Amino acid sequence: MGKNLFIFNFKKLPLVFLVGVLLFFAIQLFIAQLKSFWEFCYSYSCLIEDDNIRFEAQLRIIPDIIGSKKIFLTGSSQARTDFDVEYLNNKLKNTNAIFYNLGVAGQAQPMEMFIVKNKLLRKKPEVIVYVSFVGSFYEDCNYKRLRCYFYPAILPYMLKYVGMESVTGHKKDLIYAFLKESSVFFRYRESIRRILENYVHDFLYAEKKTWFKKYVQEKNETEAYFINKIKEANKNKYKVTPYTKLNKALFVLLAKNIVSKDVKFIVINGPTHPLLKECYREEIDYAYNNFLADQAEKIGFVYLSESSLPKFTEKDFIDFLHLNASGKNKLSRFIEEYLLNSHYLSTNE
Amino acid sequence: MLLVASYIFYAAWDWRFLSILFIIATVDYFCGLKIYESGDERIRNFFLILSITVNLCFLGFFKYFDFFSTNLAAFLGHFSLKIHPLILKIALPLGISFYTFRSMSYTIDVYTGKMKPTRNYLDYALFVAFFPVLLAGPITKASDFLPQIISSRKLNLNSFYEGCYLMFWGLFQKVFIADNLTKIADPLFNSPPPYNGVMILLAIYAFAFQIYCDFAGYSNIARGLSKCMGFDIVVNFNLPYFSTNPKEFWRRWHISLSTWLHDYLFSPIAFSKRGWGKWGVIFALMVTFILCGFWHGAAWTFIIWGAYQGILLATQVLLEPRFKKMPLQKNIFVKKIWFFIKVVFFFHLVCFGWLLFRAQSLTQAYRMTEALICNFKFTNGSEIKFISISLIFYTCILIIIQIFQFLKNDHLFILKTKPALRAAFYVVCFCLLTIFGVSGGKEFIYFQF
Repeated sequence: MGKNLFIFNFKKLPLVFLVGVLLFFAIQLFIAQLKSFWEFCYSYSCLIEDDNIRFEAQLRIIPDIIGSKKIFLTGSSQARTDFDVEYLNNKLKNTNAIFYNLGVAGQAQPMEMFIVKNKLLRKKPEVIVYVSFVGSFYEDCNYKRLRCYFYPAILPYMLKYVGMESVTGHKKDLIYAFLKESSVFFRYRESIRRILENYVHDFLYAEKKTWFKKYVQEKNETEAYFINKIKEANKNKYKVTPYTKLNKALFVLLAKNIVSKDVKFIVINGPTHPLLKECYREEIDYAYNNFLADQAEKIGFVYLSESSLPKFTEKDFIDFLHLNASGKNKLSRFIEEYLLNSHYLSTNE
Repeated sequence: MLLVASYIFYAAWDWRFLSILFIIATVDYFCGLKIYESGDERIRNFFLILSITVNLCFLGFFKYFDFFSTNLAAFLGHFSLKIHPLILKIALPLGISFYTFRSMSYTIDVYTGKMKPTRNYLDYALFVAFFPVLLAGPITKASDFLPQIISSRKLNLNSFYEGCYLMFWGLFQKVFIADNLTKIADPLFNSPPPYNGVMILLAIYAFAFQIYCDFAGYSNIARGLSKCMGFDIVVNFNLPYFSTNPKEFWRRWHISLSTWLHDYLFSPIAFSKRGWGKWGVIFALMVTFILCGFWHGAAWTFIIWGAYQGILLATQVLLEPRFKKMPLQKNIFVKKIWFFIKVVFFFHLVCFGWLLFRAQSLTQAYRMTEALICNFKFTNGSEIKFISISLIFYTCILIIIQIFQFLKNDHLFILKTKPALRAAFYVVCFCLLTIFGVSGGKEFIYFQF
């Protein structure tokens, strides 16, 4: 072999460059272990845009206190906005329960929950509350979460239920997910950038802004908004899609997995504005409720359907899916009482 | 194979414009042969003019038709002759300004006897369409580049690594520096008056580094890619912001264009006006740089920018003899300080040129200049601080690297530093690219030229 051939001439390899690449990954591994990094990210991130990093940061900073009962509120932005975590933590202080809000903007499809289930279970929660709604099963797939986490176990199910097309059609998302899994900086690049900008902003303006509140909607939508949306939907907002079967199958797996780990699993049919029902056909609602009720009985988790929840009126909502302050209060009180009455949590007194 | 790759590369954008590449290459190839073979001066002149006319017609039609049409209508409007300008709104073929100039250099060099024409059409077609330099240069001259295509190439590992490094650094310049500075410069330049002088100054600084890193980044990628394939193309940017005077600036900025303009435009004009003495040189400078501005784009702002550069150079021609009479500083420290002052002063002169270049209209350029002079106030302090910090953050690595490049007189000094330092450099660049690199950013600025 010739001395100058690329591979056989070890001395000529760009070793320094390779060391640089290795160091780049090593630094990220090190930073990802630092709680202070995640605390920093959590406190300077914004809602919606940075939900994914907030989710991971929240999980990473959960303390491993023995004896405390971790209650994870999971699901979509409904889960994030519909519960008053501060209130719940305060009220249930005596039970040693700590609530963590892990809601992420999106549809909270079982598919999304499935890919993060191991991350959740690794933190050994006492209860996982999953807020779903009809859109979680009856809408097209949201690949947003897939972009952040690479979970190869989902691939066989995708192939089985939605075919090769779903995989090839989203190969970019899957490749990105794979790359992002290997690099924290790459996974949350936009969020980290925004977080640093927010930090510099606070530093310069000498004020501590609560960045996460940037996108919090406080005003109720007008009547015209609801009418327009109903017209737009034309009774077709939620329907059976190629992903419905996949989501149902993954939900069953998810629920079985959680229950088998002795974690209490509560599925709540997230409160929705009464007018939302005008946006889709009634039979979809029946199918959705029946499926969850059936599985609850078979697998052994709790399903809180609309009839089990307190009555929510249109005055409790800011839009179709999200509760306002009074609605939030109502749901938080309900979950507090439910957890106490069902003896999931016992007081120390 | 390279020719096919180049054509596929160009066709990926718009296959229809491949025909222009083909026509230009064919016409200039045959013109080159005819010029060389003919002993008759009239025939030689005819083919030279034919070659230049074909190239300029393509360039003029695609790039300047709408500009002339609009301005003619406006001009006639002054004489109460109202006509609707004929606007074609044709997409500008990517890189047309670059490959027409590249191709013209061939026929002119053959005409002046600087080189012999090639007999292989495919070699010539590759020279015109070579993909790394096709879209935004450098404008490789035929006498430099064609012999490299014709002769067999030797690949070696060192130049391969140098090429890779150049591509990496070019990518860093574009994705980390230029694209992020766009986010600072664009909102300020796109905003309506009234303007704040401090903000305008920051916008100009941002644009100065943006345009440099955008174009130098592309040139580095093109040079690196060529190096990996065994070609050595001209260095297009040689630390231009370290210049202390206009002449030096144009020896460091867009070197391939300034060399082209010097060889094929300035020199013939200056030679023809040699009887005018110094004023002949100034005339040649003004014509060259107004056309240089016009080459950059069909807009009055570019023409005025070109004229401004011409004025700077003309001023230097006029004042240079006086400066030469000044006693030289012997104290090294004073010398360095004086050099630093000159660099900073000239950088600001260049920056004023960028204001003219980047402004959307002459009116905007005027309003911004007015704000720089009359409304230079530090109101809105936090925003100014935020933009300043961003500007420093995005340019500090470039400035540090370039200071060392300048002091060591070596663009590739990084490759010769201690391994630990080099590894740290790579790590920092990777981190910055990963977090702050703009994905799906703007296309290269010079693509539009």
